[in-house]
Amino acid sequence: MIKLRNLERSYPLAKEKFFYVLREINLDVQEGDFISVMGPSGAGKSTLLHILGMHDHGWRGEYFLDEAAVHHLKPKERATLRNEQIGFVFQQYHLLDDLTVYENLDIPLSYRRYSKSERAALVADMLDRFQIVGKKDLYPRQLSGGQQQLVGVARAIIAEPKLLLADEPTGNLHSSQGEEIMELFRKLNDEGMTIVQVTHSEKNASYGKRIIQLRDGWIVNK
Amino acid sequence: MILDSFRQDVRVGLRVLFKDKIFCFLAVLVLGLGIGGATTQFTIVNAIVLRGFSFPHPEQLMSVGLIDPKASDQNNNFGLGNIPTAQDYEDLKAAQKSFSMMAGYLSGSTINVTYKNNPQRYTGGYVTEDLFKIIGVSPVIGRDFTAADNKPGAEKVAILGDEIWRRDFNADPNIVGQGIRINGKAATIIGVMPPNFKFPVSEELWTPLYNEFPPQPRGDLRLGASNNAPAVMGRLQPGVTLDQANAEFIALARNLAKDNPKTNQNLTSASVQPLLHAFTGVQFRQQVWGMLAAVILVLLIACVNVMNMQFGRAALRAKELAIRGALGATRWRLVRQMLTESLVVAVFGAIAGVIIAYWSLDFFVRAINTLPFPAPYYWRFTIDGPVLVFTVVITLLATIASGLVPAFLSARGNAAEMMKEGGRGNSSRLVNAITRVLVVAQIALTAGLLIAATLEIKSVRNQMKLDYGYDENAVYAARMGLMEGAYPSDDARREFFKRAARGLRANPQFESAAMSSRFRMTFDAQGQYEVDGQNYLTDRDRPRGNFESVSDNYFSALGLKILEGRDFTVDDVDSKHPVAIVNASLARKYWGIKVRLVTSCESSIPVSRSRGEPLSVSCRTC
Repeated sequence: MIKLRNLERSYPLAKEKFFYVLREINLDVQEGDFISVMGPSGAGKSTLLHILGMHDHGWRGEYFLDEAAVHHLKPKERATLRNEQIGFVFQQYHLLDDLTVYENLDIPLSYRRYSKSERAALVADMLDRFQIVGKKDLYPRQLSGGQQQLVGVARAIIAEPKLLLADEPTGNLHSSQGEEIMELFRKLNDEGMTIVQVTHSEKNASYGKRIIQLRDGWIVNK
Repeated sequence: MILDSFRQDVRVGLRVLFKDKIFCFLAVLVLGLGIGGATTQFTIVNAIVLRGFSFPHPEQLMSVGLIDPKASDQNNNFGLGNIPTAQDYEDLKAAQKSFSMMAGYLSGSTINVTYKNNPQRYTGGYVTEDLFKIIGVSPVIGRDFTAADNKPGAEKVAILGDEIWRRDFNADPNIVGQGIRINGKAATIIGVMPPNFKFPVSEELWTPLYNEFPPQPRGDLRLGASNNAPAVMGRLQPGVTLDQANAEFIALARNLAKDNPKTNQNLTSASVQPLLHAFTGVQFRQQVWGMLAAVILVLLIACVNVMNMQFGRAALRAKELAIRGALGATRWRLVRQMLTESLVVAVFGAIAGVIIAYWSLDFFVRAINTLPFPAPYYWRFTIDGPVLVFTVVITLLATIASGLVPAFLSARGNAAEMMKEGGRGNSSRLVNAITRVLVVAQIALTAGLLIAATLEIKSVRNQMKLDYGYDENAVYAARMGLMEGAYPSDDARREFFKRAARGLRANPQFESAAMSSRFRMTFDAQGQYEVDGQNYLTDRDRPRGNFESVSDNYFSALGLKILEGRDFTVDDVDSKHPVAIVNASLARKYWGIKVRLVTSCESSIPVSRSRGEPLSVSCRTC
């Protein structure tokens, strides 16, 4: 599903000098895979995830998502592909503070070609599936961290992406909440969703089928 | 779908705004002041310049005047031209083909009316029989004037305005046919005009022009007297353009000049202009537009202010926009959302602005009503459809001006960078640079506007401090109009003035009293004069000066001292031996030269029926 070849990400330092965050990344992810990316802080894990999520465009190399050569796509085409294929879960949840739970779930759909009734049905379905119907009119600040991340996951998958990217999804949660989220990920993976997560936790990484270690921008094992 | 997302953006915009109350209050206040100022001034522009008359096809109504191409703009009535005599009007009317109708009128005249032994003084119009027909307005009760009514010697008739009919004639439905006295002569009321009709300026009743002032032959003018020549208007024939009408009247003016060299030699051109221009001079129109430009500048400053505030907010909301971008929002979608939020602010600003405009217009109208001269009746300073359309347009422009740049810059942030823990927002160098430029531009605009406003205020203050040469607080003035009915001869009028002056002087409340022809102690007449020993080949060569007809005791009443020579006496009334007192500057100019005054057919004496002033003449004493 994903094929990365010689992918590099760097930032300019001084004249003709660069700081490399990712070096010669070659990676294959199969459909239905569940990969945990691990490594110390500054290893480039989040950068890799944001490149996969097409939030970061300043990289070199080749990136294939299914049949699409992302490295050849224009920004607008990348955005369309991302909207169709990818969902993203953030460590900081990144729910929109001024929107209710219902509206937060509706937002990704409103940016896609869904009719109002389709959106209402999908949001209702998601609220039901995540058992947060009673919280649909609450604002994020009125929810616990675990509940916020639950909404974050629901928002990430509401548009039915094939690939779910999660950047330390349990980083801000206590253990039982984290466990709940990881169980949810496993369930989604069992249902056929491809997942790539970044994590520091060995325990959470063990939910995945494969672990990739990053050190100073290099993949040190697959 | 777009409507749905617009609704959603408005809902979120409102929520965000109410959360940020200080921003909301300041932005609405600033935009409200800007939009309020612009709406107020546009209402004034709309009333004075744009809306015009509500008659059928007002664009066909034109003013007509003859022009002396070599005379000053002022002497040519600021480009509108003059009609020197009623005969000129009649000749033009008979010869022209551009207009379907023409009419003449004297506006703002004093008309004394006695109804059931109760005398009242009104501001009225002396009009030719076609005046109401040409504008397409008919009396709602009774009939219009006819050519027979306008004839000298015909039975005197009058048409009342709705306001005085209701106020002073008890809205009597049987008013037509009732007898009144107009200027001391018996007359009959023949009609009542519709409500709110006071054409041409603020007339309360109308009576035929020639019936009151029989046309005088060309050149038969009396020193210091108004010749009662009407202002002239016409309605363009369908298909005739303004240029064609001008061309025709220029040719007619040349013919008149050729046929009447003694009186019309210099009037070799003509001016046909939209009638509205006759009531609002070009300088006044420019001033009104200029003020609109100034308040739009204020609105621009307000927009820049709000734009700066939006930049501040955009920096705070950078992460939110990045999240929205990560969730699938396109850049245009983010811009649209930010613009919608700016629109929400601007709409609240517009509501505040319209309320401010209502208040300021109320204040403005009250100020206008205290002016010594009534404003034209068609000036209605109301917030109507066109004004609201203007408000909507400037609100949208204010939205774009204050929101577009911040929206674009906010929507171009690096999503990945901003969403990482501790992301630094999008306070880029570009944003900082733009913010700095905006602040400088704002200060420059404000300073420029402040300087212009200060100069304007200083100019107004200087005008208010104008030295009239006497203590204005100690002098009271009243207007009188003695009409031929009650005072048929010069002697009768002179006798009244003498008696009035005697009575006032005997009153212990007054130190002194005198008569003057100066209108409200502000405007006086202009005329040409000749200095002995000088040769004047044409009328144009003679110098012009302001003059004022006054009684004995005038200068002492104002506290002015005669520098040389003597004051007027009650005996200085012999028109065969006219005398004059000149001011110091004219005396300096022609020191030692005897000055003789003549009247001019281009005199701009305010139209009034005041007659019988002493024939002694003085130039103004400023």
